[in-house]
Amino acid sequence: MKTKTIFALLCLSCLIVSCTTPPEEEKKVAAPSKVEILPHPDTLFMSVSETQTLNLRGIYVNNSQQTATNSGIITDVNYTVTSTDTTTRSIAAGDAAWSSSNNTVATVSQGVVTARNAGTANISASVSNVGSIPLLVNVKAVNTAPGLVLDPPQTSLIFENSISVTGNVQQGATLLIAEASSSHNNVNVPYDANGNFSERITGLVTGYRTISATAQNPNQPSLSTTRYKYVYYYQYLSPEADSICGDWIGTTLGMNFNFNISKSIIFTRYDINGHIDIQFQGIGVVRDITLTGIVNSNGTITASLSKSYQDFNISGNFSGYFKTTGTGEGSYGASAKKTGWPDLSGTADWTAVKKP
Amino acid sequence: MKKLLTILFFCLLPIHLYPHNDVGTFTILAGGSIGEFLIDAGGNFNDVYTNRQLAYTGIFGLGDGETFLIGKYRIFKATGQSKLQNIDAQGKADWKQTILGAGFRLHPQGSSFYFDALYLFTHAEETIGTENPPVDFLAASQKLDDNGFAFAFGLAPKLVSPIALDFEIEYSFMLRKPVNDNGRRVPNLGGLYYSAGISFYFNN
Repeated sequence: MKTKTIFALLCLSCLIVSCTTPPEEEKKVAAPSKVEILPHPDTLFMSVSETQTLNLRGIYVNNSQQTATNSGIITDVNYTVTSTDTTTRSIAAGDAAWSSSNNTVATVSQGVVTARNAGTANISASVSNVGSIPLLVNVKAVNTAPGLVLDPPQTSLIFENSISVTGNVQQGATLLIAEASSSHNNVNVPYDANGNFSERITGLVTGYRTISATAQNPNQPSLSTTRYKYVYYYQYLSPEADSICGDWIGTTLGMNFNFNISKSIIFTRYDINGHIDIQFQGIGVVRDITLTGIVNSNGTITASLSKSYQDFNISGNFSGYFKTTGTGEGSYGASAKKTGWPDLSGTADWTAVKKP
Repeated sequence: MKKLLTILFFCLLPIHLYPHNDVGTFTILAGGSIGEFLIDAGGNFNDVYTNRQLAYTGIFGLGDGETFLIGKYRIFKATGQSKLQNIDAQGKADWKQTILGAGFRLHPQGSSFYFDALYLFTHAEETIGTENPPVDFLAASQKLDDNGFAFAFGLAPKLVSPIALDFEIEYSFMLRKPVNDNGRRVPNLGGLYYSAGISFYFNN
């Protein structure tokens, strides 16, 4: 009797039901979400009969989902994180469909643009039905003034006696850059195959300075285009430079923020400190993010952003420059990270004026 | 613990030869025991709950020395690590289960041996989460009720009237009627229970 009872109990103990939850992971690689033409200035200056080779870059957005699970005996919980990775890859010119809005002005084949006649045309490329932002091709007749663009800002506030002037000039043109106080006068500024140039001017004298850049038609120098860049060059701790010290009120995305610029205990340096509100997609506006950094010698701002908010670690960069002693502008980019969350970001431009 | 109970069980086997209860006499049974509760749970319970506490059981019954109407109450707690997938963290889990049983106990001819047959009501509470780091989204708790049956075999040699030692082995199984919040049918929350304790048989 005893043996049978024990045997029966052992048999009952063998009742086992098991349940397993397989991990779920789904990965999706999409077609390029954006196609960019390289090089990508807004405008490509060309002369009649000139050819330019364009390249393509695809921006791919990969969405991936990963589900984390936690299981007990009678309790299950899972959490799915969707993350987005953006990568860029070159696309062979032959893999795209190229088109010109005006074949009379410019034609394009396999990424090679040929200027036919004076005028403008938009060159576009399409990959997997994803079109690029059109590239404006400005074709000039041989005997016209070449195109010239200087990079912004047109007016800068600097605290050192040098500055780099950058921009884009039409291929074939002769580029001259001059500034009077420094006796800078380069009559043959070099530029690359895309027309991009960077000219360093040193030896500026303090005060308000004007830099002129002239692109000449080499065949007829009287056909030229001249652009100007203006510089306020103040020495550190001069009364003019110190005028940036004080309280500033900035604006970004319709929200105001405040910062203060003060003389640093470190000679020839200004410190910037303040707070800014940043909009993050997913968690909304995070207020009072600490902004701290310095004003560089070339008049630009280099600052960092930081805050801890509900287990999020928020960090980022805040940059900009002063157009004059009265206004400043720039941009910032911040990220919010928290374990188990996808990375969040907030990026925008800002402008600021000094409080009276 | 299991080895100790087994040794005690066989060492005390001869004691059952001696009469235990006066059959036909109104008898009140009360007692308590401590033991190890090995929950089936589809074979997964020990994987999750590595730190099982001893289960505590109380018993009360009325009978004629041979047949008793009895009630049992048991409480069991355990802690361990829940199972995590696709995240680099450490799971944690807490378990609390109570079992209320009602049924009959039979001491054949008033001997020291007894057999129990019980209908059970159980209530289980489980809380899981993570640590290192804590992830709020992976924390949850679950409560559920179930019922089932239990059968036990025991030995209660009398020391000094009305005190008796009590060694018992019980197997319980639940009907697994409920499903949890995620729609999953729960495993058997019954199992094997070994215990040792003291019982009191009061009679006239």
